[in-house]
Amino acid sequence: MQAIHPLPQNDALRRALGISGAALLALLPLWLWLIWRAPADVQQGAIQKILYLHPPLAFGAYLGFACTALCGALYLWRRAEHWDRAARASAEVGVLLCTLMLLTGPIWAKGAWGRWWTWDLRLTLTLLLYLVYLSYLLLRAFNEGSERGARAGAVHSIAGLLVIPLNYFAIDLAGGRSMHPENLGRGSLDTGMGWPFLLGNLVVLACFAHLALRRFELAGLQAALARRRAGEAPWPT
Amino acid sequence: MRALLAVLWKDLLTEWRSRERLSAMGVFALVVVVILYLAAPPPPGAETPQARAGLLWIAYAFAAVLGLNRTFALELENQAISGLALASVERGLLFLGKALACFPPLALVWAGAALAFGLAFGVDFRPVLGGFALVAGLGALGVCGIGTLFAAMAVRSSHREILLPLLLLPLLAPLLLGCARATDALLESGALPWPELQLLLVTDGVFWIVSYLGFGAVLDE
Amino acid sequence: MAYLIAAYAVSLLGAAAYAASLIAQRRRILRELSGAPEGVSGGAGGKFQRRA
Repeated sequence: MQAIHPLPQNDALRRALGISGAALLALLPLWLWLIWRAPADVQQGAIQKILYLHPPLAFGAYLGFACTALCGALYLWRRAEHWDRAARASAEVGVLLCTLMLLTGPIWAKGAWGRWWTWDLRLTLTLLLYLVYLSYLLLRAFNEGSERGARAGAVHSIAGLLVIPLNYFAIDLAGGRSMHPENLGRGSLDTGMGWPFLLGNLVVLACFAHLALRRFELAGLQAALARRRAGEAPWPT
Repeated sequence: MRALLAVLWKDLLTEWRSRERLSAMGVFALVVVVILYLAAPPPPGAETPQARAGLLWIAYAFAAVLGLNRTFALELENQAISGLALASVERGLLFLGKALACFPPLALVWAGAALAFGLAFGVDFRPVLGGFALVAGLGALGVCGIGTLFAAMAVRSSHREILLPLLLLPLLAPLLLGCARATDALLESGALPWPELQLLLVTDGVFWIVSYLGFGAVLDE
Repeated sequence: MAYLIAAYAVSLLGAAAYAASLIAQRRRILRELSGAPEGVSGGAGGKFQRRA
């Protein structure tokens, strides 16, 4: 089949896709094996092993939203379409990871605390953040292909990022006694638990990079298709 | 500065002449208060209505979103928004004019809603009028700031009536939480709680700075 | 243990489903861009000519 160049920066993108995909394929079995081998927790037993999945997913979600705001800011500055595509791709993958985090969280909570959900600080805030970026995707979907929608989305994602610390403070004031543990410090993981946790973060990082790059490529292709349907050249040659 | 005053004056004047937004927001706020009363009536003989201050802020938030939807509606009808966007005036000044013009009608409506709420739920705001006015004023200021930015953002998109509350309400969370808690504390002890005030001040500051800087990006043609 | 497996399965399947949908969309768009009519693939250069 004839080679098709989906984007002008095709080669760099292909290479990045290859590297992140290979990293993902290499790390995934190792990670799962390490989880298998990891010791069971004294108090929680086997269910504690969600630790190697749930916080890394949270890390990936935050990374996605930070990338969205960053690419949005770059878009506002440079006004280059690919920054907007990158912002949208990170938001979508961020929302995906956040969804998975919000699914695994209650599963862990049900196993460990005996209930699916508590309205505490961390959980409420995460849910709010999720809603902010879900509405970002809706905003973009309602303004498909418009440059104005891209600008509005960029401003919204930046504003959304700024509200996170404020919400932290606000919900803290409301005095949510937290069931959810705070950030892990040094020494909070016993031997044999550190490696799978670290690897979990790497797997999520590779997964985020790979999916976001794929989504980015797809957005470029969609734009090319729209140009083609409008009777223009799909991409500049 | 002249541009700021011109936009502010124009908005206030058109609002005063038609009183369109004012009446719509006012009636809507009343409706929400009545609905809240029906849905969550105060238990008979209850001595402590203060836990219900949060309900008042629900009415406030909904009325504000309704009014903000109309912020740029007039400009849109006559394509005046393009003129606004093309004017060789700093965008930030346009923002300040629009946002400040939102404040008086909102404050008026909120005052009326507080009255209705007080009557319906048996909450007496008179002893804490000054403190409550300060809290509500800070809340209204923040809502006007970020609300104007988001109204400008949503005005040209399809589904704008759905989009504005969807985008705005989650971001208003810190403001609403701070206001509701401060109102609760006021009604309970009569004193203004400092941490909540701090939160409101910081939130207002962040909202106004973001909106001032971001307004140009969403208004540009 | 069932909870544990459910959590990992949900996550892996969710991510995989998303990736699969991205890949499927990519293939569909590429096919359309390369000029083949709907529902046809393969052939020399992925191109078929309609009979006159």
